[in-house]
Amino acid sequence: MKRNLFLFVTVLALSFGTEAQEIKMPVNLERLAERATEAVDVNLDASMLQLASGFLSKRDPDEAHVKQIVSKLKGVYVRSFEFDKEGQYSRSDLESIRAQLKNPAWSRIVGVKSVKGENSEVYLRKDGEKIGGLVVIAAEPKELTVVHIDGPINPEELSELSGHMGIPSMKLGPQKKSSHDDDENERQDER
Amino acid sequence: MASVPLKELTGQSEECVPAFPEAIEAHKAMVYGIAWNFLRDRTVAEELAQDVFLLLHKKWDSIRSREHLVFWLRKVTAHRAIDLARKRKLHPETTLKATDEPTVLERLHDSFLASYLERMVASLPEKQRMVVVLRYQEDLEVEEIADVLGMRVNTVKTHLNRALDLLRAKTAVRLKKGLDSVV
Amino acid sequence: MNGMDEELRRALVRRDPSPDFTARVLAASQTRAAEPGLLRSWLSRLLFGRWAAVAATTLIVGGGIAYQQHERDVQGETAKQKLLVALQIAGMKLQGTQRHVLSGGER
Repeated sequence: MKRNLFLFVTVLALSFGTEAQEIKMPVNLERLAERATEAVDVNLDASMLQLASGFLSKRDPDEAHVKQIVSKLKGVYVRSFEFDKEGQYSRSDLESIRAQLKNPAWSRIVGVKSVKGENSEVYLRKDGEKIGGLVVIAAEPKELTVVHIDGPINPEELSELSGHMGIPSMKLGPQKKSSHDDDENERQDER
Repeated sequence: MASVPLKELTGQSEECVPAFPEAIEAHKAMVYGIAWNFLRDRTVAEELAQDVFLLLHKKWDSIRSREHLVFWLRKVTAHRAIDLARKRKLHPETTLKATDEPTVLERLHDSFLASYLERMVASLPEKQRMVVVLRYQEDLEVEEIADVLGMRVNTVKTHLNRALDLLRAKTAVRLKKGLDSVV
Repeated sequence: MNGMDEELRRALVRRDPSPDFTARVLAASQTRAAEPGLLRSWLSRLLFGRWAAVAATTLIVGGGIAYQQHERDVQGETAKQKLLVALQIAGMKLQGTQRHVLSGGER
């Protein structure tokens, strides 16, 4: 059913008119980093993607898959913020992006709201008969994420990537670390 | 460098060691893989791998068989990687105790390791880390790991169990956080 | 085999070094093999003064190139990690959206 859902909305999106347009991450979004407890900022244009792709291993099946996905992309941009309390961003922070997505080249294929205040939107850009770009806006009470992928991308393939590469799910939460070495006392195994 | 016949010291069947360039090609992924998975630094791992093969070149006459070659490469790579990590202290180490949260700045300047599990392996104490790398990258049994690292079998088992306990505990914490806050 | 074992096997795979690794090792091994004996060493010391400047320049240029390569490696590795993080985030958010839609979230 998941496959049919994405197939349906993709076909729907491709039936609209086309005109390519870049999405610019607004300055006010960058300022949210000052209020965030965790922030992820990724800006990979075509040249950086090519550089990154050169370091992906062909032996690792997941990295090889990513290499194949990335080979035709022109850019990958992510802004993700995690806050320690609600109310650290507003709808107006996203207005600039939503205004850019009103261009006819872009179609909102999914818009979901939940009673917990979690809103998700997915936009696709048509490029001829194919998908030319993807934007995901995920707004939760204490987390805001905007993803822009420029280039031909299969949303279903992308959603399947999470769940591989070593962990079942990924959350941008704080991590624990210490500097204690509990191995120092094992002197009986001198090499 | 020409192939070298087996020196019949052990009475085992004769087997030719490959030429040196072939040995590099055949085993560079193993050597570099151990170095990379242990050190998580591409440049340092390559330097270490190169040093291992240069030492192999020097000690070439002492290699007795293909099997001995693989054993020798694993052993030297493992020991050198552990020594290097101890000198450089590339990664802080992890215990089961709760510790301070990293700052936002530390997160931003972090190496962005591809997976949480790889990050946790990289932060294990050196011997536990190498035991895990040899077990899961090279698929070695506990006895083989003990030979490579010059440890007692029970010590290897202890290292492995401690490492897996730590990794499971950390992954469970991470999973719980992930599930609790899923969209 | 439990889940953790499988995840560790998937994470800790053998990896290829840079494409010119073998060539570099062979070149370095040949350089070491060509190290002069005592007499040749004495003779080469006579010539050392003349060639010192050439050697020093080569070292500086070589060192600069090696440093640039190191910087590129660091940049490339960082870009790769950022790419993987970005794609995981994107995939996770898409999955979440799917779950929302399939569970009948308000549209």
